[in-house]
Amino acid sequence: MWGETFDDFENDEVEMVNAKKNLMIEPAHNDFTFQGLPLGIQPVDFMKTHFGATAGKSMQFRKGTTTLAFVYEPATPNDKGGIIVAVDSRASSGEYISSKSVMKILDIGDRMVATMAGGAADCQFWTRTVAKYCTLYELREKTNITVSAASKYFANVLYGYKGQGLSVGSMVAGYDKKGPQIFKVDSEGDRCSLKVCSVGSGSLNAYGILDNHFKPKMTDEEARKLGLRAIMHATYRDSGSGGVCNLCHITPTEKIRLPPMDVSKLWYEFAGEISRDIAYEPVE
Amino acid sequence: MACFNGITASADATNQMHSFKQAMREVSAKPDWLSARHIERQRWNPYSMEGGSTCAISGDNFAIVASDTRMTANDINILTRDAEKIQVLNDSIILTTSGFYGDVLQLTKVLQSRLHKYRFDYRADMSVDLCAELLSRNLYYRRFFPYYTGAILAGIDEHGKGAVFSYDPIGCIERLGYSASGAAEPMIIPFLDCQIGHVTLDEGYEKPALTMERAISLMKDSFRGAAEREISTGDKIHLVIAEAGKPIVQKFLPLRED
Amino acid sequence: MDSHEEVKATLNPTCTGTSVIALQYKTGVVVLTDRVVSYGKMARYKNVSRQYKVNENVLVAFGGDHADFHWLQNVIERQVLLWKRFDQDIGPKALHGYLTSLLYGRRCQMNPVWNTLIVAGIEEEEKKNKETSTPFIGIITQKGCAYQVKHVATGLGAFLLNQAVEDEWRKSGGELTREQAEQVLRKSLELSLYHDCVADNEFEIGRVDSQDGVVLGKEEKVIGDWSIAETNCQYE
Repeated sequence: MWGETFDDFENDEVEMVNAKKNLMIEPAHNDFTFQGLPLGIQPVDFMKTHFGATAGKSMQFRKGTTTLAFVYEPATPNDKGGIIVAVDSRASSGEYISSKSVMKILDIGDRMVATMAGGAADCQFWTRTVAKYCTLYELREKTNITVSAASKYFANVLYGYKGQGLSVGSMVAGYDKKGPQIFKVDSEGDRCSLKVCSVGSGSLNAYGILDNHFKPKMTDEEARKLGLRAIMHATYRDSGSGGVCNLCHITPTEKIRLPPMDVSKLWYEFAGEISRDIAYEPVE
Repeated sequence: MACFNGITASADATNQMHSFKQAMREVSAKPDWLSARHIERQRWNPYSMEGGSTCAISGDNFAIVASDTRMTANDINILTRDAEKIQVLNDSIILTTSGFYGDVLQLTKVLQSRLHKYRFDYRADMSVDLCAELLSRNLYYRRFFPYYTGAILAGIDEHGKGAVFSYDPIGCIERLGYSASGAAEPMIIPFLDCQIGHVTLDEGYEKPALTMERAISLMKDSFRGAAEREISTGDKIHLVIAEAGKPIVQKFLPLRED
Repeated sequence: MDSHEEVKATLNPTCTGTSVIALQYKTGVVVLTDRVVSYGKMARYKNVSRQYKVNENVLVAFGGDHADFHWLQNVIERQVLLWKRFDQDIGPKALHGYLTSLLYGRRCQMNPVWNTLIVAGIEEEEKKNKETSTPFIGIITQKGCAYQVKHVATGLGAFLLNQAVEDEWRKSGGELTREQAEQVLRKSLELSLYHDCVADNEFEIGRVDSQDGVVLGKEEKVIGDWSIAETNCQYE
């Protein structure tokens, strides 16, 4: 009655808290659930019916890929060594190529990358989730997250959605305190550490080249060429892959993204090297 | 008396347990999710396709978006000749969607309310890059019951450049120079690849620059072409032009009505 | 016995109504429905109105399951009362939006409302100002796909009559008088009578006018011209 009392201030404070609670939604951690189908409907069957091969062309999800990554050691002191990650850039929905310029090497922080194979949206979304986890981890722990930990989180998340129709085949690659690491993670919840690895519809073709030409010690030039060569051959023989070749070289100190290379130009380049057509043609 | 009550109570409990066990046996012998009603429910198609096509082209300081205005049922029966498939969300963001129109409406509503809330919280309009990510995530949130839509988000970004973002039904996002979605996508994109992407021109040839006039006439051409050869595209072109520093212009142009 | 089932879906509609035809004229909207509810191909209930007067400005007509429409009438009435509490009359645009959300929501539960709804009315920009009010026709399908038009025919009429109505509409340049509009509707009902086996010859024309408000129609009859039957040689 005689002016402001302490209670008034308290009231103001309470009002402020309430206003914040009601009007501003601050970023909350892990409060998210997907809107699912009603009970009793199987998501996998549902997707197959409405977004499967019989669905309208533009309504199928984007997929199809060749991605590869390998670890090598420098052959000469001038080379940096590290990890080469090479991918194609085609996204097809059914028979239609819905994009020929997809970036399939996604950043997780500034030292790690994840490649994208399988459902494009699945990879993009969950890689983001992993990136968020890593950033929060690094802020909380004040130390760099290891590739192993990041990939394990990724695998655990995917395992949680196992059997619900996600399609992810990703390689998490990067340098940490243990050295260069590649982990292959997929939507079955599988996770394994590899030195040479390829994922996607064109992976078999890529493996053919990789297994033939891979050496544990290479010059940087050799290693990059090997990545390009494997992707080029995979796009040549796999109709699900194509476009340009994006290449990322992770060295102990930095991450170098090379400019995209058109695979059909690469074809002529490599054909020029062996001075004949790449496809085998008998001489006689 | 108390004792008598106790006996009935325990008899009741035994009965209840008995009927519970009976019910349990029935349910596990014939689970609910295998009942005819549920199987029927799986068969009902919650989606329909209202046809039509949309397209967006971006340039140095402009973005143009177009769609036809036909809405069809089963691709054959024309429901209306002036359906709205382009939504101008604010002064720099345009959303255009094809596919199932119920989802289109819902998606628009979700985005509009999120933009509205953003204005309320931050007292500024959302930029097109932010909105693009927002849309991508909102599409993915329905991963297990997707929106049946091919969305394109276009607009002028913070640097005054034209931007086009293309999506698949579950939110795979990509920034492109031009994009199309809907029934005539496989017809429009090769045309634009040829005219704007110049994929068929060899190196060393002169490649015409993409001015706004050229982009608009290409847009008109691609829709006229699509209307000739695609049944669910036609009636009118709804053309929306966004130029950096200018208000958004909307136009309607006639197309084939057959 | 079935109390544990969480679904009560209409996936097999039993008693259904067929086409609804609606058309705008200069100062309002006319809506034509026939007065029969069929059970499969049987004309199960005659003399049933398929139009529902929401308030003085709005009329809802339906095609599809009759039971679902009964339920919807309750829902609409609740909504009207809710608006009344704030001294507001629900307009056609608002009701159209509300029903769209409702039907879309039910679709997302895979439990659709098996109706095609036509919301016809007069949208008032300012309350009680006849100058600024405009006629409104909005359609909602059972999957929540909603749009607005100047003229429409739903059900089998979507295949049979849409174009006929549109032609008449264009001929007049979109400026029909009420009499002309009703004439078009009568003619199209006759057409649907010849081709749609569940259409009936008893019908009513409801109307929403900016002057008179909602006027529900009286029962009318059309016999049609069946002389063509004699020249048809498929039956003796």
